[in-house]
Amino acid sequence: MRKIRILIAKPGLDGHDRGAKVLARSLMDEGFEVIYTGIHQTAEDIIRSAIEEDVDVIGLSILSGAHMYHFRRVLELMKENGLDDVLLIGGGIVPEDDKKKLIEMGVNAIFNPGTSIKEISEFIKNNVRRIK
Amino acid sequence: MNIDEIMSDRKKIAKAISEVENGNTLIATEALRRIRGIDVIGVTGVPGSGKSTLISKIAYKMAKEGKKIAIIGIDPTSPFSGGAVLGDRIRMKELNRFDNVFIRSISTGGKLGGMSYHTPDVINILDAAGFDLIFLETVGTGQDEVDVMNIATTIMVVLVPTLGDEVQVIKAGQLEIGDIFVVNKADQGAADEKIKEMTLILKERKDGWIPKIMKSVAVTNQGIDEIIRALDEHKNFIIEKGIKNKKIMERMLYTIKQYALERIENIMYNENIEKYINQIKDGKDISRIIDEIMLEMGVNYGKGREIYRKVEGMGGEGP
Amino acid sequence: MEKEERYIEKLKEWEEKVLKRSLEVLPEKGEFRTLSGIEIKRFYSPLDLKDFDYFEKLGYPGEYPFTRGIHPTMYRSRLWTFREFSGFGDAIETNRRLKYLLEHGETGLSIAFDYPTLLGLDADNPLTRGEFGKAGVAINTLEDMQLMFDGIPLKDISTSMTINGPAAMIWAFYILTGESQGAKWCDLRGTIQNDILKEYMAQKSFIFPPEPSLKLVIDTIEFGSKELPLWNPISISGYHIREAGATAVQELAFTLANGLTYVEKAVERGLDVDDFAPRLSFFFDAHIDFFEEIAKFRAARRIWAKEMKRRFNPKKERSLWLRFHTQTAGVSLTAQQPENNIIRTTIEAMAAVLGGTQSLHTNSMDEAWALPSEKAVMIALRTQQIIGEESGIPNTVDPLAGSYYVEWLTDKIEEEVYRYFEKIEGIGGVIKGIRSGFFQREIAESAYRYQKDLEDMKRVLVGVNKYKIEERLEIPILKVPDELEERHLSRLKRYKENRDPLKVNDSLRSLQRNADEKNLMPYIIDAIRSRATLGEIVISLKEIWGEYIEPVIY
Repeated sequence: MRKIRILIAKPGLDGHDRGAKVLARSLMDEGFEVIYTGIHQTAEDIIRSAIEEDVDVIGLSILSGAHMYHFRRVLELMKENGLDDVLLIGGGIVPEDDKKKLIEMGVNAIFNPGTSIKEISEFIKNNVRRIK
Repeated sequence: MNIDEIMSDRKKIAKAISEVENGNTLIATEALRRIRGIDVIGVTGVPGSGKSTLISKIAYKMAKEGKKIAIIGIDPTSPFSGGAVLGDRIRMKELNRFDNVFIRSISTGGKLGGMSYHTPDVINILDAAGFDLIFLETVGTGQDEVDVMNIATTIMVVLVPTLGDEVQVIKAGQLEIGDIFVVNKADQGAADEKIKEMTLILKERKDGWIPKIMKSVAVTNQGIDEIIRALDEHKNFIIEKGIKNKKIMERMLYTIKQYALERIENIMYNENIEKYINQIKDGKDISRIIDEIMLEMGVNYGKGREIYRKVEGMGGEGP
Repeated sequence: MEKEERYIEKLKEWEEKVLKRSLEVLPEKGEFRTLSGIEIKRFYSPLDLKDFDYFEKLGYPGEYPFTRGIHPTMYRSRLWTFREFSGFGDAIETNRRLKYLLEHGETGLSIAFDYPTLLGLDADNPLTRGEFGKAGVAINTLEDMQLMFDGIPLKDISTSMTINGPAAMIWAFYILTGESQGAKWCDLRGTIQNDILKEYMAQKSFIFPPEPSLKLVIDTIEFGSKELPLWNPISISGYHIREAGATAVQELAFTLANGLTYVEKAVERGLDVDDFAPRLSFFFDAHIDFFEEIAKFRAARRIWAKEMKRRFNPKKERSLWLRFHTQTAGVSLTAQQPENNIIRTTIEAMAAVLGGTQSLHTNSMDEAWALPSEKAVMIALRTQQIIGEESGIPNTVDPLAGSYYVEWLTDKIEEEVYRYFEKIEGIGGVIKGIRSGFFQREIAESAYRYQKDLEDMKRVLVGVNKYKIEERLEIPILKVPDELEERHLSRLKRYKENRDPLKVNDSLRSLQRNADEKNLMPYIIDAIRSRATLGEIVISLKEIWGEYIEPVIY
């Protein structure tokens, strides 16, 4: 059976990729197929990769404080491209208020620093929309 | 999904690939029936030799000329978790500007030989979808990676001057299968010496092709035009010599062989392993279980048993 | 060692009579390792320092090999500089924050720039959308820099600026700002981080490929040694390497290897080592493993002095000094129960002081959530003041010297660093290692291992994997108002309208023509005088040097 596929990307200009890299490897350990696309991704890059790789989940890591802008943009493009069966999750430095707003906008989950890999993995397994 | 519909856009191609990876034989066989026999360039070489960057640079130039290009990057599946990190497209970011390029990352599915059972299906889908050219980037662990020759029409082996990777190349059998050898990162060491060494070992192929050896610095675009020319030359060579059709035929047969192999693996392991274990626990004779498996696979095992008995020195009653 | 037999004999006796019985009743729990994985023994004794020679290993304070500190009196003469990293939004907003900090007893300024600025992009570049002023201040023009320091006399204060790719340009803005305030160049004091090598290894805010970048760094070092003798043209930084996941040993080894690379390149350029080495400065992380960090700082000074002496044989003693700034570990902060971060920061700050730092930034408790609020910054600053002025820690120089454990650990770290030096040499040096991804791989591996330890509960993080509570966040969070971006953009537009485009063009072409051959600092200064922006200068150089694409390692 095909594995759940997750795209991990860092949008914007922030180069702090420790979290994204550790997450990519740890999700592999949890049995997922992770497509790692690295730093300095535009929303267009991310959506294109998500489509071509036919992923089930898009995970964005943002530590630059620019999360509102980047999530909004990715959500817009997801809608435009009909990726409504793809989960959008995120991690990084995101204050509570913003987290609430992002969830309202349609982001499925925001994980703060210190979230365990197991928790993220469980969330994905329980919420992935596609029927495998 | 209807095959014509699948081929009409990027998203549908992507979905079709997922389907065949997932074991949808209907789509897979339909694609197989519709292949046009386009060129598949297998790219192999040790990790760190710069395969992805090199492909990206070659594809960039070709895409700029309007060619429709698909790139498949294979990464290994973890034997422990079954998961994988697929990171080839990260080095191909510059290709995002082209609508006529399609990139997909796939895993080995834990299979030896460096390719999952469904890799040929993925290639067939892209072939049927109307691309002009496919690059297939192998895992690059440098071991047991000759499976690519069953799929590719041209094989490019990427080396670097700083590593003693020719030993690995020889061990992995890539010396015999490579059509074009590229010493990449030529600015980082004694590239010319490496070329000399390689020229000494490389011999003319049975079909008359003399393997090409050249150097490049992918990051700065050096040597890319020469590689493209060499690829063209090989492409024309196999057409002129009438080898191309044979190669396409081989890919088709290989595709079918993979179905068979997967089926066998499923019978032996995935579907029945627990049943067999329980039977053994219940005291059933192992040789009877083996007979049953062989029967299911359609192997005429009876003859094998007779031959086995006749061979001297094998001792005892046999199974 | 004197009477070694006696120590061994007594030890055996103790193990038989005392230890055995104790372990039966109270067995030891778990593994004992430093944060970096160094195995720690039950206790340390003179047997662990058998060949310890005081003068070879330590010396008196301010004496070679400077293990005990670079000054003979250390904090008895002057405390370290209290320096809080700050900056957000535009220049005017940041000016307000700087004045706030100075009012409350800060003794040096430290500027954080936003991502577009760090990458040399003006705020009107579409690539920067969403990033303006978020992680620091946006500085695009000389006017911006002048506004940021409006009312702050640059001749009287030292300023540290965390800028790397475009460090030369930002420095030139600063120099001209000082000049416009009437300060002489030679009176300006401060630091530009300007450590591009660690950007490729860890922080990833690079612009050009390593070779031209390094050339530009050497330009600044040369220019500084001639024109701004009080300026530190580089702060060779382990901080980001550590934050990206490296161990203490890796942090030290990679940073010192980078430092030696800069010195090598500057000497190749023909500079006299004594003309610039005294102005080299360093920047380290203070993580949560108290003793390991102290040992790291002490080992750092000793290794640097030894290697500088061995490789370059300078005449001035100051050329052997490793002077450093410290920041407490951002990665050690937790989003959960953020108040606990005050305690973590305190422990880390104490380690930095006991390790002999020259200046210190203490993190604010809310930094796992956002940039620090005024209240949080105040507590962070107060932490330093309490350590400096209440605790008595600074009363004597290097108080932990002679501790069997600390000396053993200092030696151990030194030994491990030298092992890395050999490895780095083996792969052909720092730049080759960067290009092949050696450092990136080492760091990623350590980061992954650390996360695994947390997941497997081999390492405790209070409030994260142990002692968790349900909580509602009650700390105020700093928001960067949107109006600041508009204000900045209209200022930038006006700035570009009010200049002679031909003059700008001329100065940029001249910069390009001389990019590879000449020291670029005067050309950059000229371009700025003609009112060129940061983005324009950087683009001009990108046209000549190209942009760096990293080998991706995960």
